[in-house]
Amino acid sequence: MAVRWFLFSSPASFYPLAGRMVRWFGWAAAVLTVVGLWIGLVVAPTDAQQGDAYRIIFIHVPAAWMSMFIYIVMAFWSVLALTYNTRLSAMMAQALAPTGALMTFIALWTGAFWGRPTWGTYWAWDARMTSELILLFLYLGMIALRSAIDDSRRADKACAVLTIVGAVNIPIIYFSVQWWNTLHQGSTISMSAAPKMATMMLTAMLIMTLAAWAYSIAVALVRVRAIIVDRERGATWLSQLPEVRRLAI
Amino acid sequence: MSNFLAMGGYAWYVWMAYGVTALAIVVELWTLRMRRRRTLVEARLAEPEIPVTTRSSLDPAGTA
Repeated sequence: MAVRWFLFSSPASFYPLAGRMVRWFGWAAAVLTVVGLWIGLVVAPTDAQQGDAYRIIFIHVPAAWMSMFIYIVMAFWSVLALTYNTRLSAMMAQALAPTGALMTFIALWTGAFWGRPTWGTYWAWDARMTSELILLFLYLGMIALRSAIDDSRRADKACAVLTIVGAVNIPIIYFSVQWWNTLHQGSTISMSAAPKMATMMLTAMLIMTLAAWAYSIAVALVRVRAIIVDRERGATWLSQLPEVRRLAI
Repeated sequence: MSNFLAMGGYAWYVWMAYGVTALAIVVELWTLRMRRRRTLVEARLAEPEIPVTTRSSLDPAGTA
């Protein structure tokens, strides 16, 4: 049986599917956040060295992972957009940029407020933090570049190229704590060794990570739907949508 | 409860981290909601069968 890979590459067929997915991922994000915050802020014990300041980990690490992962997904869609010239791939990349920027900002902000009580400073120009700051500028640059180009198909191509070139920053962020002496600590979680964390702390962090995933997917899908409506304006299928039809104007 | 809010003396750091994160998420969700509304209204306005006279009530300049 042939898999119809391109069935949902058309905005008209993807739009309703995305709408159904938003509901599922949105609810998953809400439930996971409540459970994760409950375990993280109430159930998990106070850390022996850092006191309660460590509880920032439950948003810092998920946001930092998400900030890098969203970029990788954006680069993936950008490669597809350039290779197959599919509009929807470029729209997906476009939809992810603001949420990527948000996650990067949260990672930097919570990192600052975790760094102050543990290292004695809100900010240092070390490799991990500087490369994460560059990631924020890449996301903002992508959004600015798109808004600077009127022709959306040209903007798709320019943004795709910038995204792919900027992807070089992701391994730099990830390995910075190994390559250089950084104020930022090395990774606590690895695939090859037992985690150096109490079970309750680890549980809360993983649940918050799933919450960040579900949130990012839901928000990106809402945004891609808005982008589809914006860019397909005038298409017949769009004017038939109940949410367009019922608008009394 | 006040023990919980005190966060073992780290209240400023913990709640600044959590508070600004919550605020940022609320801002994203709000702007997204506004964007969706705007695009739907624009899609409705782009339909040719809507008479120009009713179009002008929402958009007097006709620039939408």
